[in-house]
Amino acid sequence: MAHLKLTMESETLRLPVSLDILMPQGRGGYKTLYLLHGAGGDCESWLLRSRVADYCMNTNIAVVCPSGDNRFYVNNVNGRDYGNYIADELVNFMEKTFSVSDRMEDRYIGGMSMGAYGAFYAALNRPNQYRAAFSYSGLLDISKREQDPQGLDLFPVFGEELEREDNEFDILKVIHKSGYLVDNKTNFYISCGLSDERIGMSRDCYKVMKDAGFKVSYKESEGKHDFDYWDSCIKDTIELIKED
Amino acid sequence: MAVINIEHMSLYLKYGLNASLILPDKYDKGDKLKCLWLYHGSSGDHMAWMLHANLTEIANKRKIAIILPNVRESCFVDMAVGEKYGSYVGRELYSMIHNMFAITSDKREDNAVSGFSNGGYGCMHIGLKYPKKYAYIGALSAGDKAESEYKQDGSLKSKYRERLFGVGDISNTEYSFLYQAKLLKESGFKNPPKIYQACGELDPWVGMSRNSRDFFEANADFYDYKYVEDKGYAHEWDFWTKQLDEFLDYIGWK
Repeated sequence: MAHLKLTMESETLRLPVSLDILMPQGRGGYKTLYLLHGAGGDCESWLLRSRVADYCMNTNIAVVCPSGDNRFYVNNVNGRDYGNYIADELVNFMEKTFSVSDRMEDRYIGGMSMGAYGAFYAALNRPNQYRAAFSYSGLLDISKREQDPQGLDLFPVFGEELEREDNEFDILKVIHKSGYLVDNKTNFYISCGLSDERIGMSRDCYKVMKDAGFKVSYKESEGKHDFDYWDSCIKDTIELIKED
Repeated sequence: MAVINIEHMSLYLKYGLNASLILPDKYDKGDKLKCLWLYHGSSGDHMAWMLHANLTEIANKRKIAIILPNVRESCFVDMAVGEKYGSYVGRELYSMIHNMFAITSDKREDNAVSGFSNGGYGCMHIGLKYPKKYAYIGALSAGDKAESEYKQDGSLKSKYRERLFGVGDISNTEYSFLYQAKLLKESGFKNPPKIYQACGELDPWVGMSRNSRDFFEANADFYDYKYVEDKGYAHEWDFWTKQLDEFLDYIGWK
């Protein structure tokens, strides 16, 4: 397995961007996992703070870690189109540049906290793009995060409350109010630590998605909102992808 | 433009190494980019060309991929006492890059190898060792190591030379690229790499470059060879950056 550090100019963001990539050293056709970090992190977070590289040794899985710049991986109301970057430009770039599979069945996305929101947002809005999406300790209820932003300036991302609704950023509400997302081929996996203060978001999201008819599964176990817990999550995810 | 640093495990060398790769801004799915393999000098590594030349501009302008290996101070050979860097760079890394990237072309006519100083020697050595892989060689400030002064006197310099090439005369070994070139001609191989060689007039290696020129010109029935000597240039980056452009023009990668 090789570790790649990549910098390029994003056409969508009109900014230089960085990626960390774990790439098998075989003959190609690899599965891809787009792995998103949480608020305050960057493309190195997963590699430096979990053992994802160890879990990927001798697999046919390429792990792609972009930087999300605290912008929640959505097209920002007062900013740049991070949603299109993560789910369109980045996927196209990877699949035209590297010997990775371009089939939906081989494409996965996941993340923790803010990254989990980004992963689910991408997979909900692109129902034919990912085989599975993984949320670890997901910040899945944006309205609650707005009430408790913990120093993050969310205005550039989501704008005013009305704009948030107009743009359908609020996953839970969007799923509630219409059935248009239901014909989604993605398997959704929600997991959260029992000591996570925001475990309610994961429970709520699971219930809402299940009621709406999504293919969704839920797991909660010992753990906090930290990389000890997320390390166990990514280990499970890599095992699951290996067996898929 | 994308710049990629690749930390990878070498199965040949049994340890981790770095290589870099530069891609142009624009290409489409299914494109196959020409590949320039660009070798560093004796004290350099995969970053040498990146820092001293405007490679991202070259990759963009010519719409090519540029691959920058790091073979430490091995001169791109299978060392007499040490690691097999020649096999690493010519076989393992070559396959790894073409396997890893969908966008690179592994056709012979789409692969060129170039370098300066020890990397100039290295690109001759590798280009002639693997003539089915590279259609073009661009050797800058390159001399044949068989002509380098060598005294078996226990000095650091002689010990270094012995680790690379062994003891004694190497002019009838694969460490001599002129010997390699002679063998390739005699082997009946039909399609030798097209060779461009350049040296600055003030470069201390100019005498060795001229000796190479004399050999290849004497074998013009087999080798498509061009030699350029630039007035006013020594062993320096101004010359190598200028000549890299001229080499790429010469082989038509515009």
